[in-house]
Amino acid sequence: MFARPDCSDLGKFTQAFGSIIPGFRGGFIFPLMLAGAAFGRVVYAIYPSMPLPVAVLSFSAGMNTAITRTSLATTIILGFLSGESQLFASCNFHWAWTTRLTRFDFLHPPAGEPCATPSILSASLCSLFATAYVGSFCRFHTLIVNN
Amino acid sequence: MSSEKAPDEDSKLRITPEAPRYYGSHNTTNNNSTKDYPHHSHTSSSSPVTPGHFTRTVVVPGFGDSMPTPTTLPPQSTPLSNKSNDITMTTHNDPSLRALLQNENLRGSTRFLHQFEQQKQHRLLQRLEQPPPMSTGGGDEGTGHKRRWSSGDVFPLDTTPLLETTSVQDNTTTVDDQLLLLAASGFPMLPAFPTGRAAGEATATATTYTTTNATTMMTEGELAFHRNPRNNSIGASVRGIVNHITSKGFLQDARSLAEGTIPQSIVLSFFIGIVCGVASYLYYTALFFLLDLFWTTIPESYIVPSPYWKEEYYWVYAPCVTFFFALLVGLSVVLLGEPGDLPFTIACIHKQAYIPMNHTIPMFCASLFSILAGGSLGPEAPLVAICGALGGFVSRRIFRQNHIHVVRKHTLMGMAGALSAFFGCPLGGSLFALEVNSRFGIEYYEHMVEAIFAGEITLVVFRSLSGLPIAPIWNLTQDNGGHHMEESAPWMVVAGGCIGLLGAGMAYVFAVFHWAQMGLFDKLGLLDNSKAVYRALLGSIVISGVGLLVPHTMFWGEEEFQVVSSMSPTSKLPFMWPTGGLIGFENDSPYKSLIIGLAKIVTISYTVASGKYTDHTYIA
Repeated sequence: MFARPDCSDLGKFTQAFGSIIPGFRGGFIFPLMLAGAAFGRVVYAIYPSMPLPVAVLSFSAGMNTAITRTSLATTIILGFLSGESQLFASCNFHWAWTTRLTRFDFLHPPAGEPCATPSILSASLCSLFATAYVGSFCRFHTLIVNN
Repeated sequence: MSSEKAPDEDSKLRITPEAPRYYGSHNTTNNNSTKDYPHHSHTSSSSPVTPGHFTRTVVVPGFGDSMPTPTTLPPQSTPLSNKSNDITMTTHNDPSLRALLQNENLRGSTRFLHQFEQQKQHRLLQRLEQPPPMSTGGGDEGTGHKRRWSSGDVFPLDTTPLLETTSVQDNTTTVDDQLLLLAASGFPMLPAFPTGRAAGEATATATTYTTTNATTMMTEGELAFHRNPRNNSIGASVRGIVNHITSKGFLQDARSLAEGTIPQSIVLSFFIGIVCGVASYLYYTALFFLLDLFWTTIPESYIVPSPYWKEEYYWVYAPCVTFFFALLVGLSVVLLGEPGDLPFTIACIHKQAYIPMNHTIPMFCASLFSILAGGSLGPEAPLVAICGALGGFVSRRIFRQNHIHVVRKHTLMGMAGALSAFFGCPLGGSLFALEVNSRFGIEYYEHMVEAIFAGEITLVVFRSLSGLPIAPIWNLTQDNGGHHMEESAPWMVVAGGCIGLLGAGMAYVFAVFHWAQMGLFDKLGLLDNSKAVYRALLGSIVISGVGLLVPHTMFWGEEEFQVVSSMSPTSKLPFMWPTGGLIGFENDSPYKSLIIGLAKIVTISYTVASGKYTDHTYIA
């Protein structure tokens, strides 16, 4: 597994080492979401009447979907991670449990507030359709053989 | 490639009986290749024609001389060799045709390729079984019928179209697509297309397609071939070998664990879920231990108390760590090998259905060091690659699966499990693993349910081991005066769509900036491998420099999202040290938010550009 470098030939080793030295690996889902969140704050500052979750999460979804081409998953993930989704918990459900079993109290509602999921989904789909034919995005997504 | 044969040969196949290579590899005794599937039994084991009867060369005019004509047809169920690392994909011997088959524009179509081959082969064998018609010429004296085919007989072409393709781009069936798919399927058959175009020209044109997806549709005859005789349904039987409808009953399937059955999927889901959950836990533990060590423990335990490191020089620490880990990334790649990335993973899924295991350890180290360097790349793509490789490993090595669809299902199970565990959101994470394989929508939808199920199991294993709750990690409204969204309105959906278009626009800005910057690198000669040290140095300088000015841009942004979206003080940033950076940047106005967004775009672009590698463009 460990290919021993030929240290006797220092020049060769330096060349091999230098050729592979920059090799950052990783995914840019969350980085794109962060950039989208920052831009979403700008949109929210321009239109304060818009709810903050709609502005921030929709912008994140739009940026992420354009690059990673995942419309449905981005919607569900953003909705879940921000606690704004109606898919996983709802006030009505919480209320029913509260009144019957007194398991929770009203003062500490769960994270599942009324949702921003339709807006996020709309943003994702619009972004997916808008960028379907743009070649710059395809280049991010597919293996490009240079030879 | 253009045909130089006589024009009358364009409409016939010539059959020569003395070419033994036609079914050369077909007559193997591999049991796995002759398994009996419910909907395909008439093509495989119960076929009236035993493979190996016909050892003939079919000469197809039109493909020209560059195509070695005696093509060895693949076995019927596309065996994966357990001994070698390769899954035999049906590629033609002709390199240009093989390249066409590997063209990612044909991804949608290659899925049904093997079934097409089986059908075409079956159809041809059936017709060869029949006595030659009179029109072939030279019948026996007296009867007017020939009993056997002989050399030089004119074999009338089957004019029934075998398949038709519809590409997203033009939404029409083209001759190019037909020729391309037929040629790529490995069967030397040229149907009665409008002649005058050589196959070479047609395929050369077809490579220039830039469709988002090439979808394959079958004619009614094709569908009838795949129709389930029990309930006359098409959808389930088009799933092909990955059959969800078990014909032998649950208990028999549970005992035999036949490939593609539901009991096998359940067992594999548990197995892969546990393996991938443990692997994700190991990755998570190593990652956060090292993050704490290098970005919290060492600075606060050794630098802050140190009398020699004055407070105004704390910022020097961040670039040092960044460049140190950039060197470690390079060293790990040198010592351990090429790690691959998300495009590589996707290409593996499409072409060979599994991810080679020798990329796992390099990926583990390279991605770990990339994150520790503070680059704007996250752990999700490495986890996908690692767990996908593990899923394929479990399938191929432990459960001895050798069918390409089954192995692909188990690989997708592993990928879905990784993302489910990482996001804590099984439905979204699994869908991400399935969606990311195609540019528009879900391509391997037939594996969706099993993949989501495996994602649930991986989530349970990972979150139990790590002790993390399955809960939202952001609260966007906590610092907003408690203005929770009480309800959503239709105009918000429209507004969300508009914001999504804005996001797509910013993503386009990012893409344009990135490729322009790559072009600039190219012009400066930095993409040459001899200049790779300078490229790494430049990448490290930009990443850490922007990170010092705008600390929100460091790392992959999962925890920073909360700080940015709620405009919290910079001191709440989780990993960055010194937290305030060089100038004490605070996100307290929309302009600062804009700066953060643009700086993050620059950082992502430079991090990705530093990953430019010898023969591939690595972006994940």
